[in-house]
Amino acid sequence: VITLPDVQEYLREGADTVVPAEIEEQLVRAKQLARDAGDEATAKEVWFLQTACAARSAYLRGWQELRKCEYYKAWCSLVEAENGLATLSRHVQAPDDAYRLGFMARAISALQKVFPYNWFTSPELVLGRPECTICKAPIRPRHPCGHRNGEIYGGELCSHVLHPEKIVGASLVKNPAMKANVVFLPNDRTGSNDHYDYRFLHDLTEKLRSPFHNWRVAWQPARIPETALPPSAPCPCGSAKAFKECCAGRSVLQALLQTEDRAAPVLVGMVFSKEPSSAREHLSTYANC
Amino acid sequence: MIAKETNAGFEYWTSRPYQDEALRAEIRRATVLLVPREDVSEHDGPLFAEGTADLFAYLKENSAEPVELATSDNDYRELGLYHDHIVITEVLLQWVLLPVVTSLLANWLWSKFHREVNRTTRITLTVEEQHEGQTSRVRLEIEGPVPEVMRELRELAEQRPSMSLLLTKGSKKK
Repeated sequence: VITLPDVQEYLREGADTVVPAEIEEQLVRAKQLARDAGDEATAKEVWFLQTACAARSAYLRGWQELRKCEYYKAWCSLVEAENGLATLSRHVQAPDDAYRLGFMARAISALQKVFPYNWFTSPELVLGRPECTICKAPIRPRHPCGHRNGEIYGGELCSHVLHPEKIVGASLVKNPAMKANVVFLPNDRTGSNDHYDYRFLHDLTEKLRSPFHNWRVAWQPARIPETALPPSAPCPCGSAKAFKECCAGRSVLQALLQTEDRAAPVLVGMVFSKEPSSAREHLSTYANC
Repeated sequence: MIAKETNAGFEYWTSRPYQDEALRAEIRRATVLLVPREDVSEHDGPLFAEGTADLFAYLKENSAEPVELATSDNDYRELGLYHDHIVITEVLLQWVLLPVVTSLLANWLWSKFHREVNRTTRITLTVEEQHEGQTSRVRLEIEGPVPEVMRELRELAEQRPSMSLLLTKGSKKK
């Protein structure tokens, strides 16, 4: 029989596998028992563990999808994990990031910075009267139902269900609330509907051994030696020119990956631009020779 | 902070076509009024910023002053803007309450968004004062990351600038 301390131990360990179904089932049972006993504190603790497990599963699923080069799916899984972690952040119980929640939040933020997504669609919606998720009552500001948005009741999160009535506008934004709304354009070269260049992300994730290892990317100026490749070799920047006619001897920025499990940094990419101001801009010029 | 004079004060916001007489009587007693947007294209009717019901509950709970919404509960609708900005619905208040309301707003912002301090936040206050039979109004728009908006709000609370100073203060930083 899996107990709550077993689940806590699982979350502390940082295993690389998604949360086993038995744990999820046990948490459902434990919450029902706590509810039946009117034990709000235990029901809240179970909700916390359930949400932490779901966030971890989404995070690890995102990693698996990155490994399979399913980049947009990975992006969505990481966003799902990020949303779960944000919900948990106001109810943090375990001290010192015992369940690695802070680690995952930092890792997701770092990964999002190396995705090539820059623009997102953002709808403007008229929202009908929201409803309370706990009692299902419509939200009447002068006559509140008594449940506070964001609090936990009987092991369930109280939030306001919003009913979109109509779209009154849409805009392109760089910082969306709905991060899954990535703008895609057809790629004439490949015939796909995804025009983004994932080479940097691919090279980076290939070199990371575990979702729970610390890593960071440092950018350093460098010059590509003229002898780095045979003169007539295709230029690594992807320009389709010969190396000697393209980037040989040119200034670049090198992306060096530093991880906790490797002594020396590893080169993961080069940017053919002098002074980009952010990692995202680096990536947008990754192959722009 | 940007400050400018406006005509939309308590009189305007208690004589809107979507208010019936009973509601008007109720909200005329208010000294703090949460007001909607009426200028959303493709939509007729008032729309509050997302989360206004939470702010309303907070202000009612933490203020001794009568706080009201400019619509009935039945007409309460929100405008969801799915970008990353935090948009707070416009707050109309009597000048004498500037320290109280700005302190409450700063506290509410921190309690809601202290883990998202880099998000751009926009808050609009309309301050009204009646003096010797004259009514003056200043609309203040404050925008920036959460800590910056909180600092501006706390500064208003501590300094309690006069209406004329509010206009000057806002236009200097314009």
